[in-house]
Amino acid sequence: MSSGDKGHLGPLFDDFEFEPRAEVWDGIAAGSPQPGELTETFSDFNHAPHPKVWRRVVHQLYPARRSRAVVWWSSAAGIALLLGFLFLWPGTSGPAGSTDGLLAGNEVSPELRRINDAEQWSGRDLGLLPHNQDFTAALCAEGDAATRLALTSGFTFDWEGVDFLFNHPFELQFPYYQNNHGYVGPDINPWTPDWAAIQNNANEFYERAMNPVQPLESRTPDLLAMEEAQLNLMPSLVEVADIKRNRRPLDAKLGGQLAATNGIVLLGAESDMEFNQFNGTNPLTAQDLSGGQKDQETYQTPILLGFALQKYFSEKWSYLPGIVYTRLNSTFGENGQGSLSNYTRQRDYLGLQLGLQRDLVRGKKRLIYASANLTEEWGIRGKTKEFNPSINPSASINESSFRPLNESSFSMGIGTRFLLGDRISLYAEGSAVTYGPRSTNLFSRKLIWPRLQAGLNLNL
Amino acid sequence: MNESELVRGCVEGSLRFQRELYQVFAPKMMGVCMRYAGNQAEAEDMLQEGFVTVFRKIDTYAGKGELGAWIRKVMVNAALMYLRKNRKFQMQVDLEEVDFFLESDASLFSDLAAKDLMQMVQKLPAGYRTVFNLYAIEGYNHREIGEQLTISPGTSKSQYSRAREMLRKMLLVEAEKTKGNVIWR
Repeated sequence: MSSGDKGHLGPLFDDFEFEPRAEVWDGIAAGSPQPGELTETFSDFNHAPHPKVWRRVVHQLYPARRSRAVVWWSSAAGIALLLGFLFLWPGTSGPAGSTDGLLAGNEVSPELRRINDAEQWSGRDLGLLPHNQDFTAALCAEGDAATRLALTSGFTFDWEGVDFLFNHPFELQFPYYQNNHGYVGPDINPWTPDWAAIQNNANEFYERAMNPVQPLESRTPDLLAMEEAQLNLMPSLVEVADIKRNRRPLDAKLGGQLAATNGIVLLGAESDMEFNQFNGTNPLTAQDLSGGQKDQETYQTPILLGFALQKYFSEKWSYLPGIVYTRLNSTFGENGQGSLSNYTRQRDYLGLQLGLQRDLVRGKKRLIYASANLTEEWGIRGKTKEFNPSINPSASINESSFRPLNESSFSMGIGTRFLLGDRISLYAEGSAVTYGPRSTNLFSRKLIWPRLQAGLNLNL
Repeated sequence: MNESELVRGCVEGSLRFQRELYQVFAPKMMGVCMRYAGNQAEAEDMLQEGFVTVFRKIDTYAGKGELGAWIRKVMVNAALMYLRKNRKFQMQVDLEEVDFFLESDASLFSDLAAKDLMQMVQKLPAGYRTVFNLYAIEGYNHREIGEQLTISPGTSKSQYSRAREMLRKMLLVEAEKTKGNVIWR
């Protein structure tokens, strides 16, 4: 039919027009959908879903995720197993090994203790203090007698609106002999250590330290005055300031995660540390009972266990304060003339760690990150066992306890984390570690050590 | 945290960002799901399916248009799929009544709050409820609804008409109750 053909009523509707609704054009111009008649009514209608919905969403996205209760109990069981392992695992001390558990205490009566290690640190030698000030601590590494030095340092910092006052207690006491330069003798000059006096009086130092009953009359007035001054330095306990009112609760809303880190340092912190021969020109490092011969100490792979709280303060940056426990075993032998003993040493440290992490590449299951960590470790327990292979290679002939010196370290590295589920991940991290000035100054330790660390993270 | 950061974090699979996005949009989307569901439990199931789809498909969000509008579309689709999967509605093709509305009778619902209207909508049969939601609230036309639900536009119109009729009756009953007279029909 051509356009000109019409029905008999066609001409009647030639001029008929009907205005369509405005929505027709709106729909054509903007595309659908257009607001319906009740769109406005429901525009602000919200209804909070039950919290379980989110858990179901996560469970559906990550099927390996377990319930929080299961993870908690699994974590606790894992930690308990690890601690049990540490307690029961035979120690590696001695050439013939030992059946003692790693954490087994073994108190030795004072009269059996011997000093075979003494260490000293001087702030002035390191250039940390002005020329007219100095602080040196000499520590006898064995026994209870006179093996402590009191030192306090402190700082405050704010975290999440909470003021933390942190006092750093080196609670080491010299109840019988005490000064701040670590040498013995009647001529005490606080600011100019007499190293010759140290050398000449080393035996007296030893005797005094080992003698639990130090006659008061043998102490000079200056010495007594200094002891009193040192007593005033007794550190206070770590304090936490009152929580400010604007502190937010520490919960998941902060984006924080509690992570239990269980790791083994696979490589690193191993060294052959030379105990410098004791002489009049070098600082006192290790008291060598065998007559001043060189010794070497070899460290085994440390084991660490820790907890850290991870807080993101931007999309990729986070900081991780935490605590860490470290077990360090070592062996060393005396090559001195006439000496055939071998020693094993076990050190336990409890430390505070502050890490900074930047996420580099983040995938659904994997994370690659860069991190820097500052660790301050306090020696909490140490044990030394002496073996004489010619007598009995498997049984220690002497055992003694000591308090390891504190350590500080800084590391930077790259790591990767592989998510096994919503809460469990494996991590491996390679880093370069440098130790604090005390250790570097004391021993011929390298400035930077490589470290490879692997372990398990549990996000709680 | 702005939307682009949220999206980026979700694309990377960060649970933290996913949770943040969920917390931002879940209440509103729950409101959407409740209009399609007959009860809260069904609505939560739809919400769960919807957000799982959101997180799995977030990388397809090209940034054009608002994120909330994109999530809403995904949520509506998830609701429809849920209803379809659970055979919750059967579209009845009624060839007798096909009502056309040249004007919307907005006065029918003008005095009602969303919460009250929601309760009435939830009482509708699933088919009526779905078409009513898609037309009166989401703003699709009957042709599009027909494509979505694989029904004819005429059926969509019929369903919508019946939905409105049922709602009108519910409103009248409520109004009578309020007045103190109860008329049983």
